[in-house]
Amino acid sequence: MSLEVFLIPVGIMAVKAAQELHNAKNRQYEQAFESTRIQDQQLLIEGLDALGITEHQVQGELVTAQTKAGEAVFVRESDRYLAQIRNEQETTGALVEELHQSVGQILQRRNVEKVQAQARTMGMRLMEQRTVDGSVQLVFEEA
Amino acid sequence: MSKKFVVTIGSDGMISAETSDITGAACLDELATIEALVPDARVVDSRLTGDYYRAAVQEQHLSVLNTVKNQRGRP
Repeated sequence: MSLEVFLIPVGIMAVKAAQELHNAKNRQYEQAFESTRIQDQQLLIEGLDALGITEHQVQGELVTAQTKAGEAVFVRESDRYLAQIRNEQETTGALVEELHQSVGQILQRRNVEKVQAQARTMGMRLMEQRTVDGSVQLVFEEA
Repeated sequence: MSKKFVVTIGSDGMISAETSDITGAACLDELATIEALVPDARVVDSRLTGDYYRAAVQEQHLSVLNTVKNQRGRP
């Protein structure tokens, strides 16, 4: 290997960046919310759907969803969504964790398909595809 | 040897890509290829790995050897 590149898919932000943003804007309003890595509203809704939380409403940048623990509110702040289930801070944390996993899997599936299609367009050949610890590894050879 | 690209997509959505069988400074030209291969993502970090430096050291070593040879060949 000679060059290693790290990329973040469109729609989410790095964990560290989300945490730094959360710490930097440590206002009372934000303390009541959990920070998510999700930037894209459609991705947020798809992530909720994948968790079986299909009852939701969208009003501009505000998304509300009915969860087993109560109504979850997602508000857009800066370039990511914040989450809150009223008076349920622990449950909110668990929901955000599940949502991150759900969104991660959606992005993984989507990007595996997209990279394979793009490689074909670029005239590359898929040599190998394997799954290691939940990660999908694709090896392409340039023709 | 044909160029190889290894793309790893994690279950958290994060992506890493590596060049393989491309040594030395030539691998730097492949950043654009990686960006084109993964169109819906942005590069946040990159680093050169062992092969780049090994190739650079080899090139430097050959250059030193050639210089020594040339000096010895002089009358």
